[in-house]
Amino acid sequence: MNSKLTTFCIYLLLSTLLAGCWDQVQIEERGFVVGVGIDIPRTKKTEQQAKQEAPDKPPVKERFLVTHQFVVPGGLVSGGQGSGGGQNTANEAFHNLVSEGDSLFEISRELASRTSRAPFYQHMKILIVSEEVARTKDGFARALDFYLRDPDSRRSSKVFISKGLAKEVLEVKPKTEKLPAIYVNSVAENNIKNARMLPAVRLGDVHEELLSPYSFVVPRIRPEEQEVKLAGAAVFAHDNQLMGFLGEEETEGLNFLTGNINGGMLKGKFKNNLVSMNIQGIKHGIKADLRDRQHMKFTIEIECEGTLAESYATMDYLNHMAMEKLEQVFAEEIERMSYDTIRKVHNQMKVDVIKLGSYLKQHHFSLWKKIRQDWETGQHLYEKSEIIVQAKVYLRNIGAINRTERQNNR
Amino acid sequence: MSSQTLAEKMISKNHMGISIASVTIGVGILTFPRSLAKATGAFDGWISVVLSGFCACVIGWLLAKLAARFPRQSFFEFTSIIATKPIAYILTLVVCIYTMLFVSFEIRAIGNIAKQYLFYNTPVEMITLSFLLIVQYAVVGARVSMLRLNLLFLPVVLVVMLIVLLFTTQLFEVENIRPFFSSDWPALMEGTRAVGLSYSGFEIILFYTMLMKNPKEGAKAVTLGLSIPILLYLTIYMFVIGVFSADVATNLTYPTIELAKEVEIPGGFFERVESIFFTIWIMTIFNTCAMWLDITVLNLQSMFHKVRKTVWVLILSPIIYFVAMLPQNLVDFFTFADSITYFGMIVVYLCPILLLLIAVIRGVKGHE
Repeated sequence: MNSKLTTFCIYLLLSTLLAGCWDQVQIEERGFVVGVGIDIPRTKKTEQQAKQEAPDKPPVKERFLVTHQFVVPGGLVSGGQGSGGGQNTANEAFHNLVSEGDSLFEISRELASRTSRAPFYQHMKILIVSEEVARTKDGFARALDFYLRDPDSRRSSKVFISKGLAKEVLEVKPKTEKLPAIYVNSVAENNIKNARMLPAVRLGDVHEELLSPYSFVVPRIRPEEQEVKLAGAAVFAHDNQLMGFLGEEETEGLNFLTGNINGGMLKGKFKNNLVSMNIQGIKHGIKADLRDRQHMKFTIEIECEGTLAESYATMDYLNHMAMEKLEQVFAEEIERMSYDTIRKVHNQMKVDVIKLGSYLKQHHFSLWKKIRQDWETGQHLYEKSEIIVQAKVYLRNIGAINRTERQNNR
Repeated sequence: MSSQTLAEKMISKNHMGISIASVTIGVGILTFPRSLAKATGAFDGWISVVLSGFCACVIGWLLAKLAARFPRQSFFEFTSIIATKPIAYILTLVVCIYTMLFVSFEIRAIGNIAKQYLFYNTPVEMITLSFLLIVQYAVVGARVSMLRLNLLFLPVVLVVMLIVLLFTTQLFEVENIRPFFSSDWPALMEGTRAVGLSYSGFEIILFYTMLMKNPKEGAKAVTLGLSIPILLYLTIYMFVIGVFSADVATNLTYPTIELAKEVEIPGGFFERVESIFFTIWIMTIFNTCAMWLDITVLNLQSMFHKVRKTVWVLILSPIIYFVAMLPQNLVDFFTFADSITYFGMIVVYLCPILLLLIAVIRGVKGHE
């Protein structure tokens, strides 16, 4: 009898081990952060206020203004039909919280004092860093450190550099999507339709670039009232500091130079009339002449494949001559764009975003080991090199019709 | 337990091999890509994985030969035949300390990683304790049934690993793995040393050969048992470098976990596989832990016949738990891990090989 009682007591004691869970968080208590925008504060107000509260605190160099976009699940389901009233603010599916501080972790924790749902980063889709932050020394790396270090967040969030305030990107009111962050995320996946967009850069990719000695590019985003424009590229030098931007066409040229094109369109002038082509795929190769180290010669060969999408020139495309001429026109256009980009990144900015250094590392490692220090810095061998572009276009198809209107009999 | 015949309590060659694979795949699988990438700085680390695996095979082969000389005899028994009884007592006790420390290390690793990725507020002490309790439960039962868990778990582990790797192929970048053969020999040797720490575990052959139906097959079992981790480490390293590049892999605390976190299965429902990854990983650590604790008990029992298994488990557990709580932070913990492995190299690699040498020279053999 006594032993039975003991066993019972032991079971009772052991059951206390089973009960309770330290980490229980109900799903409705989580504040799902879908997007984050990082800016530099415009006013000194909050800083001064903080100084008044804690006068002995040592002053800090940089401060961040961070916008967190939370999902409001209620706004997602209602659909806007039942409640009516068009732009009902109560019916919005997102909620932006802006907070200021000198550390991103501090800001994230500070939010807990303002919202009922503590931020939860596992579903963060986009991370927008403003131009100003990226221009400061090490600003980009500092802004991203928290999100890379936090075991909760993911390396697959997409990173953008905003021209203007990052906050404004998260404030656009798209008509098609309920959440601005999801909208931007979907837009970023459209690079298969448009060659002027850089392929999306993930947080993990940025980490890779920050650790590597090369220059790199990150997609540029520009906020407008109801939409964003995701075209162009932000150029970072090898010291991870923002140097400047590439325009839309320059980005397309860069995409051709690096072979990062999945689709898009190409315009050309044929007999003074506009023709355009739908790009369906490109092949890209580099040949290097490295005999003279002070004057290396790179030949970038681009082979582009596609179909005719639009033509204002009325002529018979179903013959060899016309096709060849047309291919020539498009090839010249690719070369023109590529050279424009080269002029900017090679001659003006002097940054190796064409990834020639990476090419040398991959294919001529013994040489690369010797010149690694002298590529973008030191002797500046990159600047002294010469880049030649050779484009070739294969027009596979002319579309459903040959001519739109009757050719003038002249 | 008693209804089993002796033959059923014995384990076959393949079973031994799978047990070796299960005990080898442990905490090292999460961290070795970092130390390897740091040492070699390139994709070439795979050469180190193979080299190190080869060394492990050679050592394992020697250990198996030693154990096979004395069929049905425990480590303590054959050590006392080869050397003298006092030496056998000392060596077996030191081995017990090593295997015990190993259990401490593994349960602490579970605690650390589960806290970092799964339970943010649960104290490490609690996670570690509950894990230790389950391991105790497994060890107190029949030895063969605990070893059979290996047969059950390892296929699941390998399949899930394969799925994780399959879904990361879309993130694999060829630029990250080139150039090939760029590391020099010192770097590769350093890498071999670094990855060698993740191969420790195959020394269980020394202690479990007495359970094998045919002890002569021990050497084959080691080869089979090590080929699984070698292949697994090879693919994991290749994928970690292909997905992250060597620079990033050097800077990730647990590259393999990050690799699992990168996986996104389209469709939304099964978007994240890292929870499954953690499950299988905890399963492997469970096997590793249970076997190490079992070996500790086995060795202690071979010295002191009178004490029951349950008693040993209850005596050891508080010590193991206490040692597991000693490292104060991650750096301490990694240093702790390294020192155990170096300690192990002397105790379970070097000493038994010396014993084998003495046995061969003196012509000592066990009774058939």
